[in-house]
Amino acid sequence: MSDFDQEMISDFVEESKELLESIVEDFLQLEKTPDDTNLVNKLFRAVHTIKGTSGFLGLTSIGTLAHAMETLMSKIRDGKILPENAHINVLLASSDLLSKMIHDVHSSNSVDISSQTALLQTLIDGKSVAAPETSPAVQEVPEPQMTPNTAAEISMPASRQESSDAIDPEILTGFVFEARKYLNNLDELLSSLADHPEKAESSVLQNIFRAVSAIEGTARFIGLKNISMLAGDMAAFFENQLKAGSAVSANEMDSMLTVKDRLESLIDDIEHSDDIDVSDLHQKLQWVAGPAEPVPTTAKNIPAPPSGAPSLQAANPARVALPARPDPNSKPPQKSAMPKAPEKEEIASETIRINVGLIDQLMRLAGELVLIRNQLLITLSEAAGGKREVVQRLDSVTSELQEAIMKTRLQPVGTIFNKIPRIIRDLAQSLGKDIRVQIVGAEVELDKNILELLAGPMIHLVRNSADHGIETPEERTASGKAPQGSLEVQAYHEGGLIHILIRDDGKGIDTDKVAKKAILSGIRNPVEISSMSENEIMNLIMIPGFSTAEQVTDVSGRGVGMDVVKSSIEKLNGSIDITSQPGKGTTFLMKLPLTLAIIPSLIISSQGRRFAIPQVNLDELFSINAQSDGPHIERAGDQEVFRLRDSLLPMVRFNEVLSHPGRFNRNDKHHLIQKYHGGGTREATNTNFAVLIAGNRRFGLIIDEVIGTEEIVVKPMHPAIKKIRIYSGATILGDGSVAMILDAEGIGNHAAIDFNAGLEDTANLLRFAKTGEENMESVLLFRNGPSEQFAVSLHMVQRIQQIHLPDIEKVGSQEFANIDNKSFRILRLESLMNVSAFSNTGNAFLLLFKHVSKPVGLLISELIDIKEARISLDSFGYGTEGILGSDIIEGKLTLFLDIHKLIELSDPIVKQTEIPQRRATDKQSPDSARLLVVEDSSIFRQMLTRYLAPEGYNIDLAEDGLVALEKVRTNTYDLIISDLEMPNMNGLEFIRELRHSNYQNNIPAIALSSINSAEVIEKAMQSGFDHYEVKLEKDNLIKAVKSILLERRGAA
Amino acid sequence: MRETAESGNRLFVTFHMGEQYYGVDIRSVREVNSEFRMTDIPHSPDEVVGYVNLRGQIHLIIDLRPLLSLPESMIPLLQRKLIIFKEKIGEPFGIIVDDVGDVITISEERIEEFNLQDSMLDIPEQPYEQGIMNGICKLDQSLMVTIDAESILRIIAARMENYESTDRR
Repeated sequence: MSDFDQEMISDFVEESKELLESIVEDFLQLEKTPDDTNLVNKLFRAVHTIKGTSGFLGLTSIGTLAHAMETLMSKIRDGKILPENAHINVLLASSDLLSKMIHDVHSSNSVDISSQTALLQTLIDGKSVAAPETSPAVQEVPEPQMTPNTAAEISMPASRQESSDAIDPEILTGFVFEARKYLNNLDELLSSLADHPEKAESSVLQNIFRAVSAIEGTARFIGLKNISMLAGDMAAFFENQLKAGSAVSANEMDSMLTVKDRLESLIDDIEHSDDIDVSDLHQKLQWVAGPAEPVPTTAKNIPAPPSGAPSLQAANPARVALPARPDPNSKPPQKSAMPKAPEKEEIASETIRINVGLIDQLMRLAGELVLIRNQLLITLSEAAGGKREVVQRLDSVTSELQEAIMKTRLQPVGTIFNKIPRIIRDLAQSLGKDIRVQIVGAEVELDKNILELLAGPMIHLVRNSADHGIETPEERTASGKAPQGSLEVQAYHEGGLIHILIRDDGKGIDTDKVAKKAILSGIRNPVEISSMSENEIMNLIMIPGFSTAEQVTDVSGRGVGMDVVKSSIEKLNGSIDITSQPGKGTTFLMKLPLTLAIIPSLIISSQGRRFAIPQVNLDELFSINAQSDGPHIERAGDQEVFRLRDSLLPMVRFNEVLSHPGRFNRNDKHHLIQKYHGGGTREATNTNFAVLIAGNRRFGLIIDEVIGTEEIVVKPMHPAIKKIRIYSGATILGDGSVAMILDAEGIGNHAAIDFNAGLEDTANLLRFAKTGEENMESVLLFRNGPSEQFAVSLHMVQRIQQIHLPDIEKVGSQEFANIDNKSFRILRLESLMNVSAFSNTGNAFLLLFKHVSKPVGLLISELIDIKEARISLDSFGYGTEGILGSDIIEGKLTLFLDIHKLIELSDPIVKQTEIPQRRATDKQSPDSARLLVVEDSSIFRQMLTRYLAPEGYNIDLAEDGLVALEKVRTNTYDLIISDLEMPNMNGLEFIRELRHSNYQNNIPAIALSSINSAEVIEKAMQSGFDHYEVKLEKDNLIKAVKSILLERRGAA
Repeated sequence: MRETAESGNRLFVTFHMGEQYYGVDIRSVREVNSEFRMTDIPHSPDEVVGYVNLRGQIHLIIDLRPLLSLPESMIPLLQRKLIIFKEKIGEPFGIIVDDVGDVITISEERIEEFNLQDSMLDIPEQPYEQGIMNGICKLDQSLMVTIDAESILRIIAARMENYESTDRR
């Protein structure tokens, strides 16, 4: 026993004597006033204190006796037992014995207390003691195994409440702090054990044993029963494992993890840790630990004997509880009884807690020192050699000092990473998946504040990958992958930032589905989507509202909570990006600053002022050479844009932003465009710009000059002016001057960027329109006048262009707008049909169409939405030229426009000549050709009927291949026009079926599809179509129908 | 300081802008500074001159002239002086003045409540002046207007309240 322990014991003796002094008197008083709860509590606390300390010091007999007394007292206190004479007698006798043992503490363990504890136990069990002071032989000596039961019994809410109330809150805080550290350590150890249970290294077991023993010891010392009990159980189990050298079974592993979890939750709510009943778990553990070697197991639950391994447990908590106490140099241990002492030291690592405010102050002072050093360097730059050397040393020491202070706030990401294997293990088990977790870079350090805020998002992301990314072993095998999925978590330094990468090899994210979902939930419209890269689309799953659909689908499931993840990361001045390859996996990449206080940034200058752009907001730098013929800044409406690789990047001139304190309005933007693009000349000098990331959008910020990068200390904006949105803070640069830190989002907002400006041909609109479910139509809803809501099929829309009414030119009775040097004739709905006139709300858009013969633009005043709706056109409006029909969408009557008809109506030449001619043949004659139109979309069926009927054809309709086959069996047709994508039976299946059937298997067939790709055309022809037409190339379709029918007639 | 208050005497740091003398209670002043580098803050209201770095701390510098309806100073910016206020007055900030004078002791009863209407100063009425100037005191040769340091940030913040609506729509 060390001096240290000796000291502890003498303290204990002094304390116990004091407690015992009054105990006899109090018990006597209790006999008179058995209802005195204060007195009961006082007595309870006294024996409780003695029990706790003695147990910790390895004074087994004292501990056991006090324990039994305490148990009885707790029953009395809970009103379960009313103290009678017999109880008081036994308690008094026990106190006497206790007192005797304490006076000769060193031989206390050899005192036989069994008779006394047996008496107490009888009373605890609620039996009466026949002869209060009978010989011990009469009573059965309680087995040591009973202790766990009594332990479970005494852990009743009231007693616990009391016991932890008595604990000094400071000690409690200290315990929680230490225990969390051990538990973190345990996390790591247990997961490494879980990975290789068969070759459990004894060092791992030893470390686990030490960690739980340390928790147990301290918890016992300060009287946290549940915690000490469970930790004790765990320690016992691992001690057995160590001795037996046996492998840990999966079952046992589960139990241990459960205990660890329970310990964690108990420690999280330490005040009430003893109010919870953990006896179930405790019992279970008796079973787990039991079979191997029952005695040491239970021994853990009674105070440990003062020799051998258990003393190691006892010594450990001492160090934990009194961290400031040990002085390794003062007194060497008397005996070599603590062989593992040095290793213990390493568990109770050399840390102290420091007030964060103090660190901040040190940080500020160090910053100040850096500035003084800088000034000194300038002042002394001409000084003589000797002085320079001193200055250089000051220089390096200052830098190191600043760095060291900064590091005081850093902690390894391992504190979060260590939790991941466990989380994934549990999740994988419940989902029936097999997932291997690989962790790299757990030692990479991050600011404590960032780590704390990062834990939630990190866990969410790995769960997301395990849940929605990685497939079940069966699915994986079916798609040719290894049955075991892999989840990689990595942390590393790059470009002054910490990158954290979470990569799974699961099924990836289907961008088409995401895009469609985004359109359906209204967070982006197809026009916006069409201008986005695959990567940008993927990142839409993090937009708030993406996953708020009533039903969580495969895709939206991936988005659940992702908006929260994104905003948390952005709050940390970080960014998150998703990349994914369908079928191959998904990668989340987070970029975070090392600390919240110091961030790497780019220093730029504009108007002679310097500004800092945080590196997380910076994508790339660009310089446009004025002399080169390469891309240059163009104009799209009133928005400047730059063609950067595949996409159009909106541009903002920072100098103009600085000169305009108010948010840009339409006039401002128009003036700027005139200023920079009015003359049509290119810029005379090179143009530098930085591509900034604002939310998940990008824009180019034109600046005067790039100065360089610098690690800056972020200072918040002064509260009086924090409303200015273009800055996120201020910083002090190396030369001591202040520079503003730019807020990318704020600048984008201030400059009123039109992110949809100049969208190119939206060829990929088709793919979204076509991914629509059966009979669902993507329609663009808009308004022209105040009264009506209109819709056009999205298939038709090539582009939506914002225009200014003054830009419309009048030529005779016609109006034209110039878009990209091409002249578009303007259609005004009010002049084509009886609808309300264009309402000038300040906005005006031109809808430009695909598959039309003449360049026209439909003038509208307001874009409402893109909707995907199941549409059955009613008959309203039928007969009004230019209107296909109407339907109620979102509670509003909506008119579907027939664009081809509108063009015809508006074109004076067509109007006067072609239409009347067609009208003349607008009669179905009995001998006219009979066509079968197979099309799932009701709008298209309607439209095709209206195009073809005037040609004099008899038209039958079918909504899918199955219905069509049915019709072919009962009717004769001259020609089939069929869509390709249809529910139930698609066009390709239909034509194959038809060609192999016995009914009219040689009817000519035209495939009609919105897809215009050689591949699809070839497939259609191979399947048995005779002709392929792109949907809505109306004139071509009619031509084709005519020529095929002519051929057929000729052949017949 | 308690003694001065009890004896009815107050110490003022005097300064002038143009021809006018002003004073601020010395208890609100941390320091006077004559060497600084100013970083202006585009988009800030006229009263905000910019940020200066004083020993590692960034201070917002306010020009009272627009608030007091005074014309712009004739003295170049960097030749003027800064009066920096203590932290208890508000987040680090100070004012820029033409020049700083002596610290003077004035007995409490000599300070009259400032009233715009019957003040002898010939200045057009502005909504902010009343708050900033809280007293007036006749000196031997001139008048000293006492400035309420605590009102300054409040007024700047109030000016910023209109920031959103300054959008020229």
